[in-house]
Amino acid sequence: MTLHAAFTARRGDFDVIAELDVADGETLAVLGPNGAGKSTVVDVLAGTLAPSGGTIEIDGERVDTLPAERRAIGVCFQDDLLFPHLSALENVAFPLRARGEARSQTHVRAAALLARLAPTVDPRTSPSMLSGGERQRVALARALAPEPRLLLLDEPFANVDVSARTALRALVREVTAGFDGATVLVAHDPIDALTLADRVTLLEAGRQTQTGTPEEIRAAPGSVYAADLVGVNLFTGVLEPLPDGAARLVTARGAIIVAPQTRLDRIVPAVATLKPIDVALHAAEPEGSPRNVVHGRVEEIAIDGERARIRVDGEPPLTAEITAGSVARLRLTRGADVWASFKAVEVSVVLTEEEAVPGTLSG
Amino acid sequence: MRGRTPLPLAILAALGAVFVVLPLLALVIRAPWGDLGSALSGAGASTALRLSVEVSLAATMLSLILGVPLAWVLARSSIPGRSVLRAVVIVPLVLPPVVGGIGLLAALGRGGVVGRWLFEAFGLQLTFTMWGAIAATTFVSMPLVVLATEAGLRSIDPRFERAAAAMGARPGYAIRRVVLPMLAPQLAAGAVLAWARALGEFGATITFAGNLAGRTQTLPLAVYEARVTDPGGAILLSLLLVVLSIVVLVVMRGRITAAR
Amino acid sequence: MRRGTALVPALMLAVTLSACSDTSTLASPTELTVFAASSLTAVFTDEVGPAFEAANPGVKVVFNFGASDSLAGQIQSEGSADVFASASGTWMDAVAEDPGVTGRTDFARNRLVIVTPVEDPGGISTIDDLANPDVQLVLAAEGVPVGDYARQALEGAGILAGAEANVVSNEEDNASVVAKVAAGEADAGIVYESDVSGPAGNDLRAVEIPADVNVTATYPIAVVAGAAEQALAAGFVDYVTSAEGQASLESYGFRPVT
Repeated sequence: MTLHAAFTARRGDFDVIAELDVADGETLAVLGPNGAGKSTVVDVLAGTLAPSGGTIEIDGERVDTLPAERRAIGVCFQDDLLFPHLSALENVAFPLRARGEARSQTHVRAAALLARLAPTVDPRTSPSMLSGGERQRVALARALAPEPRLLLLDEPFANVDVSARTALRALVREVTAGFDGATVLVAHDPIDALTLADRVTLLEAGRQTQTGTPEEIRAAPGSVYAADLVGVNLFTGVLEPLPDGAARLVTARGAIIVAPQTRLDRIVPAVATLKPIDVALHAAEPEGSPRNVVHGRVEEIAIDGERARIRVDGEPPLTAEITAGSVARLRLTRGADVWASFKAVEVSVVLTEEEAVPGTLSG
Repeated sequence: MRGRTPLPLAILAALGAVFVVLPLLALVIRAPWGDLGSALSGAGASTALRLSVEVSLAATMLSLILGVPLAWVLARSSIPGRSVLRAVVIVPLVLPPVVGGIGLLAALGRGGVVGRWLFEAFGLQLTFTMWGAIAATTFVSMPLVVLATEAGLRSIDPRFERAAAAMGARPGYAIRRVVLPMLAPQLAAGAVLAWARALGEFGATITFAGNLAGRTQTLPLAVYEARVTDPGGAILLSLLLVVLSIVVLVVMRGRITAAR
Repeated sequence: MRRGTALVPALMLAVTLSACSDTSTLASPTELTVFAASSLTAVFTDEVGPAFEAANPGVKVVFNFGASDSLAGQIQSEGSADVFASASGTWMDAVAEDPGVTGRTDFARNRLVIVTPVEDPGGISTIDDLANPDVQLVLAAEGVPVGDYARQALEGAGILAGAEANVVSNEEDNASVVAKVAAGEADAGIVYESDVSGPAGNDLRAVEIPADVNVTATYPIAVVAGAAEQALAAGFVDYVTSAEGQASLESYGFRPVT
């Protein structure tokens, strides 16, 4: 099913103008800084905010004229918004009961969904007894329960603590991979967009500044925000387990050592991100602890006040963020030889294969 | 979190407790316990008790049926003049009950603005009837339901209703299955407060519905009538009222002060 | 502390202090406390009280009106009355027993009368009509003098049972009965003749009770034992029984004692 939406909406003191096209099975990430209007986009698509103009079509049918409860959507909210007076099971069953299905029937389907997406959660517990990560899993199950044609995920990881986020990201990836409708994911953290979306649209101050695949945006960032985004190092490849519990992520251009959250027993595909600030640069080969050392050539230097972004061409290529002072100290110039290092634990890894998500992951 | 209470606070609290408990204690001490059997088994006491229970329960029900929708309008709708409406609805709380009774007479009495038409067209009369007592009691109790319910509605994150809509729930279903259950603790607290107020209602009842054993003489009215001719009996009846109130308040336990 | 928040406690303090303070601290007059039956409200407040104050400069008469039974009870438990004027001998007897009275004398008589609203919705023309079906009758409660007197009269007329069946409310005093009937809420009530002669009489229609069944209430007045102002109280009793006092009472519908 395809989503085609082009609308304007007013939120507070500014307008949001958006045009979104998402194909069957595709995930579009709406990425932007806080206050850009991302939640407005979700609210308009969900039907809880009326746009001031425009249309929304799912599979060619107009849905913007329908109230929220008649659109075939599933929404996962930032604050999960699980109904506190219902158990986890009843929450998941809610969309089915709301459209009139019999209780026993809905509970069977809800239980199956919960077992698959939130296996550590006892269906009878109240949401207040669950951790942030468990709640989002239940919220995800609730969003999927009515077999929607459009899945809306509004910053689902915002209130989940860092240790649980990786596992949750993997779960969402698995879910969206198997979902044959369109998915719109709203995110603030670029890692979410880069690891989960097929295409990304950047929303800044109510306007879309750029839309494309992560690679397209990386290749030609259209705004300062985009440029900042592409600064995130993205590695795609396969993970080979190492004897000490770490793993080697082999990409098309070079391999890095990473520390996955659980022990792997075989080779699995994965996607990993590394923040530029976690990459250190050295004029000579460094000694000591970092597991990853990459020898390369300075490709580009971009200085912005006190910060500097350095693109290093190596195996693999990296972007590092250091102080402007360090640039001078290291005598970095285009084409200069440089060593980049980073720790394995600073790389964030997301496994991209279904069976590789073990049920014992916490959160 | 419970900690040590500063001494001045503790002293004031003790004074407050004593101030409230003392009259009750004095009632217990002064009561002619020997006459307990005859006072309570007399037709007057049991009739007044039955009437009190019936009238207070009916008034509480009516307060809920009318008060909750009123609170909804005050909390959720956008009709103009809401703040004036809210102030007016709260007025019975600050009005002396007798004044409320006089107002009810002026409106719903046989010669009242609306009552006159009710009487002439349908032969309906509220004064001197149990329904009059229920009306007077509802008048003073409903504001408590409205206050508690409105506060409850305001405390519910409105996003839950939007979430329910996004989950496919029509507004009616969302209200029934999401809002009302989340409102339940506040509703219960409001109902208990209204019921307690209804049980003790005197001024508006005696002014509007009158005082007749078996029809309009609730326990407070019976106590008032007995106080000069049979002071011992009045004390026993008063204690009966106190016991009845305590029973319900204990059953509801912490719900009155608990927000959720 | 913001300016506004200091205002509230200051206001409360001011109100409390003003309530406590004696409003007439300048001259500090002597107060005479008179407990009197409700039926005496108009005549005592408008004529007797002011006249007594005029004759006794520096004296302020404070009245407490209510049903005689209620007043007797208050005197017994709280004291604080200098003079007690009752609508029935029964309650004066009670106070005479405890705490005791001096100078007891009967100062007025009152007879009963049936009252109906001006439009007479109940169709009451004789006392027997009070036993008619569907008549809404309001009486003072038993124990209140006018309530007891009314029932006496009804018994004398042989219709007590029928009338009792028509009673829709037992009020706490004659004033409440007058109020309900004057407002048109009840079809009839039985109160004192003095109640009809006052301003409330404009909203009332009076139906005579035959002399042979009518009850005459005799009002005694006395100085309460242990009163703070014994001499002044005796003076008040004297005034009420004097020619002036009696004339006032008569103009308000009371009958003389003799």
